[in-house]
Amino acid sequence: MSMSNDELQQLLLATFADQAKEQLQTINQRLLALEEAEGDDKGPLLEEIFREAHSLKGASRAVDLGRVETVAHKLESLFSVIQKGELEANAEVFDLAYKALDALTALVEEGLSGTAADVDIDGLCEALAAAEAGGAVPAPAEEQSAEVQVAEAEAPAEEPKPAESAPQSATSKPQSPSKPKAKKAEERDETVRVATSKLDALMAQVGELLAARIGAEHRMGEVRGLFDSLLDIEESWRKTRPARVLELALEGDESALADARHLVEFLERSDEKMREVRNGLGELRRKFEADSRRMAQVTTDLQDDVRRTRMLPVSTIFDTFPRMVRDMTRELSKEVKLTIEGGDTEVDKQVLEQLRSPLTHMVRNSVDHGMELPDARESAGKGREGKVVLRAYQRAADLVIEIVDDGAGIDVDKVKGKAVEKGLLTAENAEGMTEREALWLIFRSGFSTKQEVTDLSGRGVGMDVVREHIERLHGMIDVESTLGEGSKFTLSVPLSVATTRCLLVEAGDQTFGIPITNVERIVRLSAEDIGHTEGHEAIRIDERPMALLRLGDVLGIPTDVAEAANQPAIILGSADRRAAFLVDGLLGAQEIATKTLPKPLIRVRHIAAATIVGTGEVVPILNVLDLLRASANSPRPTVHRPQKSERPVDRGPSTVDKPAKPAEPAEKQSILVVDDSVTIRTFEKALLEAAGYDVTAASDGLEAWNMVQAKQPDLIVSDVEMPNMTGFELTEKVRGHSKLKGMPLILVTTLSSDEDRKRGIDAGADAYVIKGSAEQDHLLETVRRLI
Amino acid sequence: MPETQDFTPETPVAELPVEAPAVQALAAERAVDDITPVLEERAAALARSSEDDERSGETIGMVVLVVGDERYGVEVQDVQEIEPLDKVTPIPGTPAFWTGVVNLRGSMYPVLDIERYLGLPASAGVENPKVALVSRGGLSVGLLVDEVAEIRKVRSSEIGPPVADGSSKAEVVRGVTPDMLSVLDLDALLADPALVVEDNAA
Repeated sequence: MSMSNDELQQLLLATFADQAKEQLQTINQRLLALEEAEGDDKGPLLEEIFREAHSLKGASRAVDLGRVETVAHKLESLFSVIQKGELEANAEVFDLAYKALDALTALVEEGLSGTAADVDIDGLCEALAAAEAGGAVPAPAEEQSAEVQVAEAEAPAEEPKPAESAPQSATSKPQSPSKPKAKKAEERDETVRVATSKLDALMAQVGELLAARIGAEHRMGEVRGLFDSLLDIEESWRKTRPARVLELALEGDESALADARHLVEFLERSDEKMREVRNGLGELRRKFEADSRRMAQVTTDLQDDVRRTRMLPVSTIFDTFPRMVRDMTRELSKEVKLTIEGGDTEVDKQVLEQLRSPLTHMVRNSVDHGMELPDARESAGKGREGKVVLRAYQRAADLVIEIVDDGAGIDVDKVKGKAVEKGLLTAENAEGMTEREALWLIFRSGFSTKQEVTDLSGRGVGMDVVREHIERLHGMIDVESTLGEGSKFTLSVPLSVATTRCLLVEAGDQTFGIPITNVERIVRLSAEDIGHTEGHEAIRIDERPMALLRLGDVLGIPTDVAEAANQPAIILGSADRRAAFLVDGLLGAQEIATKTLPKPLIRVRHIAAATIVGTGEVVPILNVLDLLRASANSPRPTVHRPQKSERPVDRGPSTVDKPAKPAEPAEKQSILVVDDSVTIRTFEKALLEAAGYDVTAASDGLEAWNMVQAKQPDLIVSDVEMPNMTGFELTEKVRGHSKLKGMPLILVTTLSSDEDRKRGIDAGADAYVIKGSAEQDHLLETVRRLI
Repeated sequence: MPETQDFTPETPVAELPVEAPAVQALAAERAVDDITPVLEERAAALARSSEDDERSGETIGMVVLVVGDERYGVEVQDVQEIEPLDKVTPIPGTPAFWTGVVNLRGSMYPVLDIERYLGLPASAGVENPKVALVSRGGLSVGLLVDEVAEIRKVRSSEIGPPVADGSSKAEVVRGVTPDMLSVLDLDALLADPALVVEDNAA
């Protein structure tokens, strides 16, 4: 077989696989709906299942996947019988149908990859045939005619085989996938299907760029014209030999007087010409300014639109969950209703793919561990059927996914007990933990182990692995739970991995980017904050000791050997590790499109990626995990204040003989940041801390309200749309309170309509900042204006 | 896979090599002057040095790169572009022969300091160094050079065995021409495992 035919076959297969996956997904959804449906609702669903199975059968034959065809055919016949009312679909039939779908999914993949799938086709077909025969005696002739009838209507030329002989002939020669296919599979490129409307938008933007190019060519002509005018003036000036003429005229040379007159005329003329050139330049400058504004707009839009072509709705993953939950509930004898909200929220394909496994695990967890058995629910005064809600929505540049259940909730005491048992913390420490801190233990590495996870939610993935997955996407995860009432897991990840918000810092004379999600805070140290342990520097932040390193030293870049004091230090954290890094300068935060380093720089220590910034320069993005590992190699950070006397210092593991001063001076102005997006919260916190404020954070209006009543900050920066209490409501509360009403309050939001702004100002906000690219400068400016 | 799936059109007729006019002319000349072996020899030599050599790949277009006192030849078709070195970003944690990474029209390329890589004695360097972007087998690397001198033809028969020039990487030099142009073996150079940075020990 020649290459081109092989390629064609591969192309056909890829097209078929895309279509087949959609058809299987449709059948899956209709089956789920059918199980719930009553009476007349069933007809259209059955019809659709039958049709999809039939069309799958035809398509698989076209690409010569006999094994797919065989199973699809059996499924089709089964539903033909059910459709005619000769068989009542019971739970067993549904189980079998789902099994057939799974087999079909595996077989389609087999056809695409060339790697044989482990599917017992004969067994499955027998079971399907038995189920089919289990109802009212099916008349083979009728069944066949029904099939042929439809087939003739749709694809008469492709329906030559009688219903009964097809499976046998196909099963008797299980297709041995050919080698070229397998080879191709390794090179298979990821594809995204893009709606034409999205491509149209791209084309429109490209058209704009072309217009800009033509504009630039015009400007070039104009510049050339101005340049020529200047050359003309210069040349005429040279020709009149002004210095010589003036000299002669001054010496009293009569003959030079005529030339001098010419010179005066020339000067008058050139004055006019110069004015023309200046006007031309002024005009040109205006045009260039307009051009550059337009270019900025077009390129930004283009970037957005290109990013959008990579976006897929989260339903791509969510749609697999109802089936999974259905299977689980049957196996566990539980009753669970899964509700999906916001399935049309779009997110980058790459992000979505990486969310699949952690989400699957979390949904499984909520059914397996979170949900009680029906009887237990009843005796707890709840409905027998448990509810799991899977909700997706977009907040600023983040995708937020919530998994909420009304199950048993997490027993904090048990969690603590287990953590102590595993040696993750001492019983003493556990005692002093808040409920929230204790809940967080479930994300700690080593908390859950393979052995303890049940078969169903198993696969050896614990919540620590889920957390790692999410953090790798520069996302955040959080949990809330009330014993007996249920749990809520919230994860937020950037909509696109292509861009990351980074803090740009200097080490030596080089610039580096640090993903903002890893920046816990930015501090400016004073001499007394810094302690020494065995020659290594360390500091205390919030009573926690941590290593203090110079970023330049870690990276091996020569830096000015300056005093650590007064230099900015960045506290980086990931999972349980944190450390402070001194940098030579802070250059602000930027939305950055990261790229991997070019080959053959495959994995460079401390460097995760790189980006090209506005000036065209390449800026490396640091690998925070590597940096933290580097800090772990330095001695255990036990910190003490510099001692006047030289008596030896207690070096217990985490004991500190005298608490060091807090890193920040007490007279700093305090700001409360309120936002339910962890990313935005972290970002705003880092930004304001870098600017020298003492910042605390709350995750919604209610939490913020409780906090301000306990301790009044100098200013509040709040999001508007939040659960529990919105920013508007918070503003009204603050303004309505006798003591707090004078406190400055800024609302930061994506809601930019005049009406929203008016509502914010009516509620009593002092400023209304729109989230966007200029956010950071604007926010800081507004804060400085108010306090 | 059954034969019925074979959609391939008939194999296109391969282009038959057509003798170049110059060769035909020379052959004709030779037929007339076969009494003069000298002319015949010259004709043959001429034929070889033009069309024949081109077709059999015996002359090679070379971009001549100047590094310190040395001159290196790289085949023309392997050189993607030559740009002045502007804003190279050093990448910490990579060997010293990696000058850094540059941005050429939106793509990032690593820049190899060929002098350091070959272990040549350090030269004074120049004010405006250049980057010659070379590609082979999916790998593109910018070579840091002082100057790009010229593009010239080199007859492959002229390329002699490499001579010891103090370089520690003799295997990436294919050979040397009589006028001391060292011809680089890009396959060997870009496949050198020493170029790869894969620090998994971190």
